[in-house]
Amino acid sequence: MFQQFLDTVKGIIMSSGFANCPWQNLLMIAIACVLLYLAIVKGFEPLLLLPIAFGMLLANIPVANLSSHAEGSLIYYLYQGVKMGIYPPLIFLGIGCMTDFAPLIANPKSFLLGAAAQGGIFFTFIGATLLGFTPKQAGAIGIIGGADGPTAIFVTSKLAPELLGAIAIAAYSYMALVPIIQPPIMKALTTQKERMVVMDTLRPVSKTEKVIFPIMVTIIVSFLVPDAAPLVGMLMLGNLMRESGVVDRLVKTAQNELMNIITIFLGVSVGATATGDRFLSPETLKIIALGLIAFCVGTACGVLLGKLMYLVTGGKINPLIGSAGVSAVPMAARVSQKVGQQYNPANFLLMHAMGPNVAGVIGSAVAAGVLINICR
Amino acid sequence: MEFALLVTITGMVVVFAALIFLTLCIWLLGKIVGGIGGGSKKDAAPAPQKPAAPAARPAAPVQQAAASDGVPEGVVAAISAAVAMMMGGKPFKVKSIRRQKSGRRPAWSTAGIIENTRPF
Repeated sequence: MFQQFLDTVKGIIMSSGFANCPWQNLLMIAIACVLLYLAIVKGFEPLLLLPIAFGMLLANIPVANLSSHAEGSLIYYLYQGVKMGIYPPLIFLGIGCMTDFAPLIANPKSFLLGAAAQGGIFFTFIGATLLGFTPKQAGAIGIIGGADGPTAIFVTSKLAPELLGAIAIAAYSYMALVPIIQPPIMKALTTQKERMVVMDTLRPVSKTEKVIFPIMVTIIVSFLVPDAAPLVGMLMLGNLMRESGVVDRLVKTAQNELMNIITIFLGVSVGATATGDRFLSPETLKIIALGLIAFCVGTACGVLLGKLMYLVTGGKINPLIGSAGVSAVPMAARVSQKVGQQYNPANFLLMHAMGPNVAGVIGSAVAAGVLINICR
Repeated sequence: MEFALLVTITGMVVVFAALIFLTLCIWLLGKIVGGIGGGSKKDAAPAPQKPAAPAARPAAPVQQAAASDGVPEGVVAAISAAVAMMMGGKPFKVKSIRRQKSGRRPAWSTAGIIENTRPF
């Protein structure tokens, strides 16, 4: 009897995590704790980084089998929404409900700045190919430059699901670092005179335009790049629901409860893809480096086109809003505002920068569609 | 490497083409909606002003103060006529006309804007 008791206890101990812990799992748990520290204490995009970091923690607890790939586990089933490309478009639905496209409609030239900033994506694609990644992987790494979490997850789940953990963590970490990464590049590429440009007030936008805009964008972009249709379609659906003013309860749900539910499921399941065997490799370090390059090049391309537009319009456009084409809404627009105000305290660039900022969201969705199409 | 360059060029061209096309469509949309909405408003505004101005001038006895701050007499006359129209026929006296500092917001206003946008 006593012997049986001892055997049972021994069996429990032998099947516990403590007895079966490879060093990789311990290291991953440590990394997860660092990310949790960044999310909670330093405030790095906590809405996503906290679930991602905790998902990573859960996935690397030995024997518990809670990773996204462990068939039958809770997180495996939550992960299906990522694998099948359901969660990112639904997050875009919520984002569309929260976005005001009026600054873009009032000044459609902002679309060009949104397009230029996507240069970071393709430049990084070249870099990733040179570093030895396959075209599909390079496409997934390049999309980090779009500075758009749901887009990055959407593309990666379609092109290179094995890199999902690293890419998601890189994307959200760099989005949190936009206020640190962007200003030096913006200041290096502009002159004092250009930074001090005060832009004309935006024209008022009628409700008719605000209602027709999402319908028009959906039709045009989906016809041109059908692979971008899930993302752009849901973004514009959300926006149409908001601007029409007739479906208020749907808008409230989409931007609150639905966003929160999907964020939780997406974050935990994406984090739980980062198991030791996939994450602890030189590829991850390369991805982190390439992600930084993507953001920097995207900012530079946006500012450079901003300079060109400044010259072409005879000084009417402040090049600092070009960096807001990197679609980290609204962080990049705030950075433009802050840098502009440093040089001219009466300069109020925020609304002008929101134009390129939201144009960048559409631009990165189009770029995502192109990448999925070419690298399929 | 060639494939990478091909993807880059294709990608940038497609993204720019799509967004330029969108730019044109939105600009056109703005013009169309603006044309329909603004045309009806503009006709109404100038008409009531014209009958009001000649009616106001004979009705109201206007006394002008001496032009101050170097404001030319013609400008004083124009300003007085505008005030007369706004007063709608009631007698009034223009006491002084001072040039306002143009283009600058009041200091409190600027301070308020800076305060509200600083958290960004």
